Amino acid sequence: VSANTTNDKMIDDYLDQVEAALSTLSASQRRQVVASISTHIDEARTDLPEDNEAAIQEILLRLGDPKDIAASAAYDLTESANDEPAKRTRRLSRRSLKLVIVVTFAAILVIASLSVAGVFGTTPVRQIQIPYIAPGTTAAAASADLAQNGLQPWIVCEPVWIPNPGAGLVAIVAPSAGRVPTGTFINIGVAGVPSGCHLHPHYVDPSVLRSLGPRLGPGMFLAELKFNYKPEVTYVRNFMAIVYPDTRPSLTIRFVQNPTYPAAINGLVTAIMGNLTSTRPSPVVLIVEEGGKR
Amino acid sequence: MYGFELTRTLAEADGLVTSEGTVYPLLTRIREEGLVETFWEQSPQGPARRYYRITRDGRRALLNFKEQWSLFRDTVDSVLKGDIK
Repeated sequence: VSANTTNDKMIDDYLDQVEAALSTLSASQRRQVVASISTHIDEARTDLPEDNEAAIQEILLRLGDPKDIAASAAYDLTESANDEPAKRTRRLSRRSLKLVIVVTFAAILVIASLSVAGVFGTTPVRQIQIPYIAPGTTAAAASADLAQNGLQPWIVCEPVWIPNPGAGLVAIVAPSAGRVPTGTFINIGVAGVPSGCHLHPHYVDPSVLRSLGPRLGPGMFLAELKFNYKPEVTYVRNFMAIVYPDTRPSLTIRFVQNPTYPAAINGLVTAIMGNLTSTRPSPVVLIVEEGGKR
Repeated sequence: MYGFELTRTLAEADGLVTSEGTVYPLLTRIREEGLVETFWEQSPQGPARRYYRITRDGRRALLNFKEQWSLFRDTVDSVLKGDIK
């Protein structure tokens, strides 16, 4: 029996115990809680330096006894289920016995709001201006400008990276401006017929991720991978720029494409591009937050 | 912030949670109430992560809670100081 199999079994057993302990909940709620905890375990495992039995036990220990989780659920998901929303907040602040839960409730909201506001890891803040990446710009010009600004444009024709954006005009940029966290992918959809490349928009090839590793360098990380799921964009061409948490602005453009995209989709993107070109927005400015965890 | 980060942050605060797992029923509840929303994003290091983000209703609830908490705290402080008999 391999170590991974033993670890997986340990996790499965724990999740089974949690599920059994949550028997008083509705099937839907039980499923949600167990799925969330399962996701938590997966996320915790990716942070492990070594995926061994002791480390898995530590994760499960920190998650706690399934009976404690069930006790928490008994209050959070059954007692509150029949309350009217207007009554909940009033009741919450009155129940001294449930003070910890109330404070945790507020803490979650505070943390969720802080992370959206970008309070975590906000210093120092640097502005990176990318003037050529705007709808209507040629992809080649965008690439040249990025290079002049010390950024690195790349195309991925999986699994090979090539430093050339190819032909075509930038059709859409998202996010186009504003404050983005370190590691954000900036999608740059380009209209035009690609050649020799392929990618499913939802697909992340492990070999591509491995090839990203050395480029990121020690201590760097990808905070987010954002994909544009709109087929009218992703099925034509996409650049994706990654903002690294480096001391120097560093940006990689990822190119994805599907040469077999339907003509109708190409037509749609061309129409979008035409519309955007006619409005010609101002240059793109991204504020990249660096220096801390997200 | 994704689920693992969020629960670990809460767990590091003294006395808030008994264990990380007890946060998830509460998260499920406030998601059902529309106070936070979740979305999935691909992680380069492993499986996709579920991120939590406060909603407009959540901000309203938080504001409401802050007001009530302040009142509650002041009242308790007054009782403990002997101002209220």
